Amino acid sequence: MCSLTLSEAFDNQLTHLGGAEAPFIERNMAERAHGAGRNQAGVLDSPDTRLRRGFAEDLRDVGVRKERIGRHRVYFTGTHEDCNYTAFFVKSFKRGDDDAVDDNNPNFHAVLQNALDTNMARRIADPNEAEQEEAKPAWQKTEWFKKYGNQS
Amino acid sequence: MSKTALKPDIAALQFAKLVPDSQAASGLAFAERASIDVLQRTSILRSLEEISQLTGGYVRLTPELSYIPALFGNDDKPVFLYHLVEGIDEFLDFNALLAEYPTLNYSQVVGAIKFLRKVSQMNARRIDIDDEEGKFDFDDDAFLRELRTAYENRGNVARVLTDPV
Repeated sequence: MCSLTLSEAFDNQLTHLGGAEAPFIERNMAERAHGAGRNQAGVLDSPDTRLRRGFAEDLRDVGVRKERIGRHRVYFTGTHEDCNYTAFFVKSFKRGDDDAVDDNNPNFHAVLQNALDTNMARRIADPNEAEQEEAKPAWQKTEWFKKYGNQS
Repeated sequence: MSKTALKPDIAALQFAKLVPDSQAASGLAFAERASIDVLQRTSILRSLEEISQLTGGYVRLTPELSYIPALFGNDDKPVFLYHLVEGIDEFLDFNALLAEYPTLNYSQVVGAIKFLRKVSQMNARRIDIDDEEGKFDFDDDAFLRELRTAYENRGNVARVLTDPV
């Protein structure tokens, strides 16, 4: 069972966060650390905790990683081989924050929508087609069939 | 061959337009790999679309959003399914769940939620949503300054948790 070290800055952040969120983040980080052993990788060692290429390369190079706890993001160091992880920063989710990576933040939402937007024209549905549409089997109602199915 | 059986190939060929020109120009081998990849993605997304229909169509996959699963609020704006999974993770009673499945451990349940979250991020253009999140943070100078300072001061320890909470 590995341990979790909380830096002063991280602990202060949790104190300021208060409410149900602080114990939630602390408990879940601790459980993740305790689930690992010196000879057994844990959740905090999984590849999805690595910082992405292009993001703060200096921190990435020194082994800083990021774990998602619900909608919060905890930055930490350490591996199961050290059998200790150090949590040093939390980017907490707060509804209405300009920097929240959530749908409620129009800035982030715009970034995501732009990335996903295929610039395909929206189809305008004919109201007379509604009854025929309803009678179709489920697989013919899929967006895929509507887009590609009638072209063979 | 039936008309229906041809559909995935037609879809795949059309879908292949989403492969960047710069990569498509690098030869037939790439095109073949891309074609197989596109077929696999097409198949998975088609399955998700059918599941959406079977479950009442609340979760929608729209071409405008590259078929990433989303719900649409009463303001007609999308709430991405993976965000909802993050919310479920936040409000889930892990102890109650583990009591129901005593052979599983905490890490397995966390792993399962992470898996569902990543599946919920699947999209036709293979955009890595977590990369987009990283890019969003990358532009936030104040946040990066704060993060670097916190890293440098990580040696100032407040507490060490060695026992299960």
